[in-house]
Amino acid sequence: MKPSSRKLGYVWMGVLAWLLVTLVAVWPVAKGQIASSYYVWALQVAPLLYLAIVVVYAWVMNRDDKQHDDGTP
Amino acid sequence: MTSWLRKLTINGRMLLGGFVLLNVIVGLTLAERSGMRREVISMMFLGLTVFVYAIVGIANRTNEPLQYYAAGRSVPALYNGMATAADWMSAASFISLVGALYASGYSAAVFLIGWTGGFCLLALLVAPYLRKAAELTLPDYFARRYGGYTIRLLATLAVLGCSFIYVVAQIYAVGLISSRFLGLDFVLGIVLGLGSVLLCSFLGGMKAITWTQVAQYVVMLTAVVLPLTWLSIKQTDTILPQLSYASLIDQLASHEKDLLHNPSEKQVVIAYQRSLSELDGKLKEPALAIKIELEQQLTQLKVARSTVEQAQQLTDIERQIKLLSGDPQRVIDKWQRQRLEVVQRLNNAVQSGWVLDSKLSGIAEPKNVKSSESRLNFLALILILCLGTASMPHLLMRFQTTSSVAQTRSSVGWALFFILLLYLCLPVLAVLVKLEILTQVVGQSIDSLPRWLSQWSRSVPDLVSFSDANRDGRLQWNELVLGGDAVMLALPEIAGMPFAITALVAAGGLAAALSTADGLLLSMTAVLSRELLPWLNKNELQSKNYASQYYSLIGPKITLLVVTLCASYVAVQRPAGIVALVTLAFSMAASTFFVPIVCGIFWRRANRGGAVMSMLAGASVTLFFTGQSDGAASVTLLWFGIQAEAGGIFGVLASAVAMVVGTWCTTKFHPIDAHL
Repeated sequence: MKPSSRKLGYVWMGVLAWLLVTLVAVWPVAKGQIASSYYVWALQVAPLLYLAIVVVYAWVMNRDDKQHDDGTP
Repeated sequence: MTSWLRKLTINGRMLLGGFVLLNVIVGLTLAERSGMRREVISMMFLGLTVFVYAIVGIANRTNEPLQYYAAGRSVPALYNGMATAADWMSAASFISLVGALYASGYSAAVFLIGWTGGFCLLALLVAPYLRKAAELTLPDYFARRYGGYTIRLLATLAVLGCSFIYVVAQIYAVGLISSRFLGLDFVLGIVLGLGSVLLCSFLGGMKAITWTQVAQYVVMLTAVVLPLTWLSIKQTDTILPQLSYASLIDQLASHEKDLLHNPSEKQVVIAYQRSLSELDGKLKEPALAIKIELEQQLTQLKVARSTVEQAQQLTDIERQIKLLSGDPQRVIDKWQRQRLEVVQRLNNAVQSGWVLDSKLSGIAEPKNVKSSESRLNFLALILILCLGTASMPHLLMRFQTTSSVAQTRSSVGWALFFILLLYLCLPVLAVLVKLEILTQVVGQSIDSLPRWLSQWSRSVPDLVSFSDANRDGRLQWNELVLGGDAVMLALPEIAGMPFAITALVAAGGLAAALSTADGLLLSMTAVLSRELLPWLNKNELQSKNYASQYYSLIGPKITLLVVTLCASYVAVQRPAGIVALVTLAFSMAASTFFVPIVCGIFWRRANRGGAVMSMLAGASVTLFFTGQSDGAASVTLLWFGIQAEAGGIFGVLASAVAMVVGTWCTTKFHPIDAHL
């Protein structure tokens, strides 16, 4: 079940990207800098970045599956 | 299904469905102009959509277990994504999110960030691996990964617990929509909703639900995009208001700043404060207060009897006297209710979520930080919603319907894409509605208020109400109560759209509740039937015998019926608000499932002892902390300024610690069984 170390690397990169987007979305609240740009960031840009992470991850992993069929998902 | 319809491709059927839907909207708008009653329009629209779902459900009936539980593992990624989006888009998302953003601005952003961020974790850490394991339910996966009956039993109880809480909220929403728009009794509305759920899922299981959810998604998207475009053209002359979101917020913030310095608004707040101190005084010495008020009412009665024109006033006074002369406890209860209402109005008056000046919104000064705006609380809520999304059993079951692991990955991407199509609209909708209220309703004479306001305040006074607290004859912002659950449903009327659009939004809300309820009920049915009916586990999925397959599905279908009836019974009791129930379901899912699933995949040493301890610790800590919440009346703070509603985060931490400790302590008793 456990993925190969190469695929684990992709997973880690994805998780770090997710964490970065989430923390940046929360940061203005922590600093008390609620401005209109914050709403655009938190309610429009951050969700689109999440989608980008999922799409890029799926593309990389599916391509990896084709190149190295090691039986792990 | 007729032969010509069968010949159409899936895309063709979708286009046909969209075309029919638009024609129905146009037809009903014309019918309204020619004098058709609103109740008839609502009934026709909601009835038609439910009829279409039923047709789709019946057309996809099946007697094959693999089709019933996993749609034959043959749903294309795009359509599975669309069905997942509908499954995901619950009544809380569809109905309450716009209201939450309308009322509290950035505080409600946690839901949007948390729910979308959760799909990242789902794609990265969970869905493809569970699809690879090819187990239909979470208890099946846990039993295979960790072994033993205890973990299977715990997982079954946890799936039932969090799914049941969530499905009750959906059925409650169905009752709310049916009673408001069809004028039915709440219980009758729930019974009708129940019938709709069963029509979609009873005969075809996951196969029928998948295609019904695709149709429901189309209705939901139309129900959001059409009013948004209408409002946008009305207010900004553009059809893509998302692009001018920042400037719309600046406009809104400017209006909110004006409100904060408006003398009339301040008068309203003073009137509320006076009313609060009067009620406090009465509640301090209730016996004396009742005596004084009774004397006042008797004096007023004498005056009113002397004038013929005050017949209505006479009835009101007589009613008051009857109440004051009766059981004192009833009078005290009434005053306490009034006090709570005034406190809530005062809280709403102070809040101003979209104001951009940090000093005004109270964020810059740590002493003034309200618990709802606590920094850690904000992060904790986002995390719990993310982890809950990645662990929701009904959502995980949806990813068993694709043909491969690669399709599952693509499917999560499509699901997030379709969810974003809706979620990028809802915040803009919230801003546009608030601008509409501030510019078109606030400041109007009380005698010439829009018709929707009086209609809604009569039909759902606990959600919509207004008063002239400062007695200046004009409606101030602080005098208007527009509950979060009413904003989305009342939106078309607020914007002056044809009633057909109102019916469309109601149909969208109904679709959201039905689609999620279908998924949840099937998830509970699959778990229950595979635990309670053990003969089903004897390779029935591989069986080619038609009779054997037919009989093997009778048990699950009866289970589905029983589960639906139980959930409806609880929903009829009208439990706490939808959002509170949904948050609890997420906390439970995150704290019981996330750690054991992820450790089962990525940590070879994780074993049965650790998983059992992890689930027990997560569930008990979450139940303990969320149990500290006393509802909407006040906010209960836990450690570090985190509210009880985000208490699930402590459950997740406890679950992770218990997983590590349990695994280390029980390694020699339970050999590592990471055989997947």
